[in-house]
Order: sequence, then structure tokens, then C-alpha cells
Amino acid sequence: MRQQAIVNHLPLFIMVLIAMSQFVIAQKLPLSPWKGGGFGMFSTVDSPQARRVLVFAEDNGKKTRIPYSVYKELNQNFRILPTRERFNDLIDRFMANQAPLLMKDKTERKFTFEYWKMEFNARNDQLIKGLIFVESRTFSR
Amino acid sequence: MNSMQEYYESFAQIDLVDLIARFSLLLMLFYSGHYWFTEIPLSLLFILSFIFPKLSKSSQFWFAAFSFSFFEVVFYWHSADNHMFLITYWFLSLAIIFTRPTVEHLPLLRTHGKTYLVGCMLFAVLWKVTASDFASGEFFEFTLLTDKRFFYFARVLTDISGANLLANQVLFADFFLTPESTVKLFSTPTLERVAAFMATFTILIELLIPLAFLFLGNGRRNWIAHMALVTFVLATYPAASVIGFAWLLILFAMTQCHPQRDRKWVALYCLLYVVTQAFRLRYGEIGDTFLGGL
Repeated sequence: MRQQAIVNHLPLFIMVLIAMSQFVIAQKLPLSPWKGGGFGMFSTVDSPQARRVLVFAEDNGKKTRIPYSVYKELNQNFRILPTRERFNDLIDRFMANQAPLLMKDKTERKFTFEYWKMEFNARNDQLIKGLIFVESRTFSR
Repeated sequence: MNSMQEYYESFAQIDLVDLIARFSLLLMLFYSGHYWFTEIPLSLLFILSFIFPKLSKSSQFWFAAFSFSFFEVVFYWHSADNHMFLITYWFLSLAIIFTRPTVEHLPLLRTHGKTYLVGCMLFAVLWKVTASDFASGEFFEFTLLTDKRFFYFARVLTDISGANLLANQVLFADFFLTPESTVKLFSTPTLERVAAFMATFTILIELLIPLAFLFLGNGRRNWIAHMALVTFVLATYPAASVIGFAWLLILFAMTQCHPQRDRKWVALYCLLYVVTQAFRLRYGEIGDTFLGGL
């Protein structure tokens, strides 16, 4: 009887457990309140949209921004929980999959990865951005 | 059938569990799958239920729906919206509830519906009162200034000009790409006051809904709970056009209706299902057509 009652209400326990975990994790790690099943959507400016990775290629000292569409999916995955480990993982994936396609006729190319976060200051209606992580890697054929 | 009265009488004969199962099927068809590997199987399941209506109360059927939905939430947790989680729980609830004898269906649907409704609202309030930028109105000011879905409401409710909203949109879109570390958005004192009001209203109504369903849901004053939910849906979803979430909340509220005594609320919720579809309209574009461009 008691076992049946537990089974009957299983999804309810799962919902509370996931929502509570999401809330606790988001206090300790940079998990976006908007995602992860904790019902924090529309509660803060700190949505995934307020977080962005930029990638630049460097040729003879000249920096060129890589179009966002090239690594959009990597960014969308990363920005929900932008930890240093996941940033390194994003770079590894980019170097393995995207970088070889961006070499053109070069044998070596340096890529710089920047992770930025945006905030809104309502006192003076200003958007403010800060650089959180930055790292460079060189791809050689 | 030739009068509204007859339609209503025919509607009154529909079993509430049937109705909840039917609306769950619609939810499955329109708002459950966002990737081809879930959208296609869930559409096929819907077609099957259309041919064999008994499937809408089959545990195996809902377990299959749950499995596809679960797959999407687990593998795409980083992009899954919160209502996708709720839809997945709901499908599992239906799979479990329909293993039970018929007499237990409605009481279990009521328990599950109430827990989801109360739970998601209380967690939403928890996030809003603990966030540093919500209660002050900062979040809504930012949203009114930069989120295109809210532009029409910003124009109607405040004195900000369309040109300034358009400028804000460009400033926001390009912000990460510009060398400047700060940029000033165009705002107005009226817009700030409206944003602060929206924040207070949201917290209060998101608190009232769960409390009213918890403490008044079964009594004669349950109209307060239903009225609060209808107000929330009508006030929130024309701008934040997450219709899947609106449909879920309506469905959960429908489970709280007494099968006979609350028939008018059930009818109103059915109507609300239809009305929320109008929230998909792009008010800004329609407004621009009739009121002139930005």
C-alpha cells in the first residue's frame, strides 16, 4: 500500500527534487536561473542571453572575429553553466571541429576565446559587460 | 444542435478526466517536441490517439510520450525550457495514474495537478524574491527596453518612443561585439515605475495562486484561486508568449475543478485554451500596421 502510494506520487517527488537541486546548484555554480528545471525564468537579467563567448582568429597580429554562427551551438551549451572546466571543454571542441575548417591556406593559426557576461544597472540604465575567461590556442596542421 | 445552450449542455456531459486527457494530447501535439526526434514520434502518437481514442487513457501510451519527452529534456537540458520539464513530469503522472482503477483517476489527477501548479509557482516566487534584480523592477525595466516581445506593451503602457526602443534593440544586439564595456539605454521615469509595478504584481499574483489553490481550492471560495490564475494567464502570456506554459497552468487548474459544481470554470478554461492562441500574434507588428511604424 505504502509502496503504491510512493509510485503514485513519484513524478511529484522528482519535480521537487530537481527544482530544489537547480536552486541550490545555481547558488554555488554559475548555472543560469532560467534553465535546469527550477522555474527561475523571467526572474533575473542573468539569462543565457546575457552570456556570450567570442572567438577571434589572429593572423600577423591582426584580430578577426569568427562569425557567431560557426560556434553558436557550442556557446548555447556552454552559457547555461559557464565554468572554467566547461570553457576548456568548449575550446577543445572548437579546436577539434571548427578550427580545421577555418585554416584556409595557413599551416598555423592562433585562436583567442573570450567569455563575457553582461549586467544591467537600472540606476543609470547602463548595460555593463565584463570579461570572465580568456584563453588562446594555436592550431597547426 | 442549434443553440449555444445545447452546445453547453453537450459540453457538460463530457467527463472531466476525458477532457484533461484530451487537452494533454493537444499539449503533446503542439508544445512537447522541439527536435525532430521527439516532434515526429509525439505527432505519430497523437495521430494514433486520434484513430484510437481509448489510447488517451492508456498507461503505455503516456509512458511512450514520457520517454520521448524525457529524452529531449535529458539530452538538451541546457536549452529545455522549464515547461518542458513540467510536461515530462505530467506525462509520467498520466502514465502512472492510468495504471490505477478508474475511480482513482480524478483524485490522483487533482493531487498531481495541484502539486505541479503550487510547486512551479512557489519555486518561481522563490527565484524572484532571492534574485538581486527582480523586486526592484530592474529585470522588467531591462526586458521592456530590450525584449522585442515586450516593445508593444512598453509603448502602450509607458511614454517611451518607438525610435528609442528600436535604438535599444540595436545597442543590446551589438553590445557584445562593440569595444565599449558600457552602453546607456534609453529609458524614462514612467517606464521605471511601470517596471516596478510589474515586478510587485508578478510576485503577489504568483504567491496568491499557490496559496489560494492550497487553502481555498476545494471550498466555496475556490473562485479566488481560479480568478487569480485566469488573471495571471491573461496578464502574462500576451507578452511572454510561452503558450505551452500557459496551457499547462490551465490544465493543472482544470484538474482542480469539481466535475459538476465548477463546470463554468471548466468551460472558461476551455475558452482560455482558445484565447491563448491569440497571444501568438505579433502585437508589435499588428500595432505598427494600424498605429504607424516605430
